[in-house]
Amino acid sequence: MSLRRRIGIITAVSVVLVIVCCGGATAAFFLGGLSPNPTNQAAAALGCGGKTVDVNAQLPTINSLGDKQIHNAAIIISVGQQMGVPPRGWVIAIATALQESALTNLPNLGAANDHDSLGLFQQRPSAGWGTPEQVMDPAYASRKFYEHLLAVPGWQTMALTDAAQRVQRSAYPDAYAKHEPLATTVVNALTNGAARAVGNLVVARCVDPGEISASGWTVPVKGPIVSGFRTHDRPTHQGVDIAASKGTVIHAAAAGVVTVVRCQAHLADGTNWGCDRDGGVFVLGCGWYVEILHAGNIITRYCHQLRQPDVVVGQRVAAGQPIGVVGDTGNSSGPHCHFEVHLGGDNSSSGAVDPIPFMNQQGAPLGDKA
Amino acid sequence: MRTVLRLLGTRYGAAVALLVLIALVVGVGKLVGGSRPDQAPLGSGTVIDSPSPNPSRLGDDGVGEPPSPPPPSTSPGATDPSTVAMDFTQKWLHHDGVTADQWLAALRPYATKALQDRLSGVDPLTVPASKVAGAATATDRSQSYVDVVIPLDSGALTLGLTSTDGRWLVDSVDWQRP
Repeated sequence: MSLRRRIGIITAVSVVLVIVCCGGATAAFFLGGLSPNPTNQAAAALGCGGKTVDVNAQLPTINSLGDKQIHNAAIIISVGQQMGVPPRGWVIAIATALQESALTNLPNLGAANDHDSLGLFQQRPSAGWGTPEQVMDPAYASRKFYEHLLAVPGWQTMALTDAAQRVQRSAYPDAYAKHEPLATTVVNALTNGAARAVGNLVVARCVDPGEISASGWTVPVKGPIVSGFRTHDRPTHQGVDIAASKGTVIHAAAAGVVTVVRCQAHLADGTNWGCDRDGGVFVLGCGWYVEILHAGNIITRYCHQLRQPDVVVGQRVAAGQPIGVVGDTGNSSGPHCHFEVHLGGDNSSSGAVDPIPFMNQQGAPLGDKA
Repeated sequence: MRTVLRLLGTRYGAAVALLVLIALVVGVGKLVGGSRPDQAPLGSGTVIDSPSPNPSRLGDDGVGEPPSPPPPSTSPGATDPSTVAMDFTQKWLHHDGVTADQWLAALRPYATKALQDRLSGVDPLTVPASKVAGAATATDRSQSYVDVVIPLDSGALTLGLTSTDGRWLVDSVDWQRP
């Protein structure tokens, strides 16, 4: 063997070894700066789906759900994957089954039931859903649910409970909403985070600002976070400050009902300052702000809006719907959106949680360059 | 050394040398340039400083302790939200021997247009309860938005009511098993 040939072989083997052992790290080092979107790295770290559910595999434990409930959930998601339904559909299906049957394949309840609803989705043979044997088959019942869901125009962008109601036609059209958080947890646990993927795409991908995740959440304002939640310098800062230029549209982070639209801007001595002009560091309060009550008793708050917000109290909003624009009213030293997340329906400071990990978990990471 | 130099003269040697050169230039550039702070993965929870605006000089620029919601306001002569909720519930429960149209027609006077739309096409046979089993509990969310929970024989009904000009209507219906 000639020397040249021997060197050629050694070079080839080395190149293969480098690619095999550290190709990813090498590529990441050289290509790192080319990443188009740094924000969805956070969601990517948590996973954005891409896992095909195997109903016969060992399934994870999820909150207080029993093995049979989790197995039924796996069947529902698996059927959705086989039919090419995007992940928002799986979350809607799981939430619907949580309401109708608590993910249990319910038989006829006899005298306690005055109609013929059966199975995971409480489908009625007399209403044309199939034979009693068919609707008691979880895979058949799931397929029928998805067939009806896919036939609803615009189901991908509706509030979860509205999409579910269009299929179920129940006497309690808003009952599905409260199951959205648990349905999100179930889908994430069984699919490596598919509820954090773009809701209406079949091919799993993390969410960019302007897109809605399968869990039903979206980034309210795109812009860098210039101040964090309860920092050392600002221990009473109950949200994050997202910098954006005046007039940038603020979007509802998820579907819900508007519960507060208000101007809060006064001086230390109580003198009203008003929201028809910019505030300042000497002005106290949230300026023009909006609060939205979401499924699962989650509340979001959006402060310092430029002018009277575009929504009114009692109005239902969809995820991503414009609610107002970024401004500088109230206690503000430059245009930004002060964004808060509260749990347990508690809009006081004790209900506030750090919006950054919360939004990462929903697949709608805050941040990004303005 | 001479072997190496001779190899550089060959095609393969030149190719390898060029690759090494490119890697060196890009690699040194990345290392010297470092990572600028504005390239931090913001979504991962990193908080950065920005020259302008800089609200971090502020204390709490939020609401502070939010004021309690103003009490729900009902126009003189109009029915209060709990009574509207209970009237709606009685009509909602009355589902035996009525057609879908009759059931919905009975609910209309107490329901917003949006709720009427969401209840259209509902078979009243699917109402999962038959009687009220306790007193209504109201939670005021704002001056024009109230939640009312009504215990039923087979679970609990939660109604969301909104008011327009002081007149209350049911806007959402949630049902929960015990």
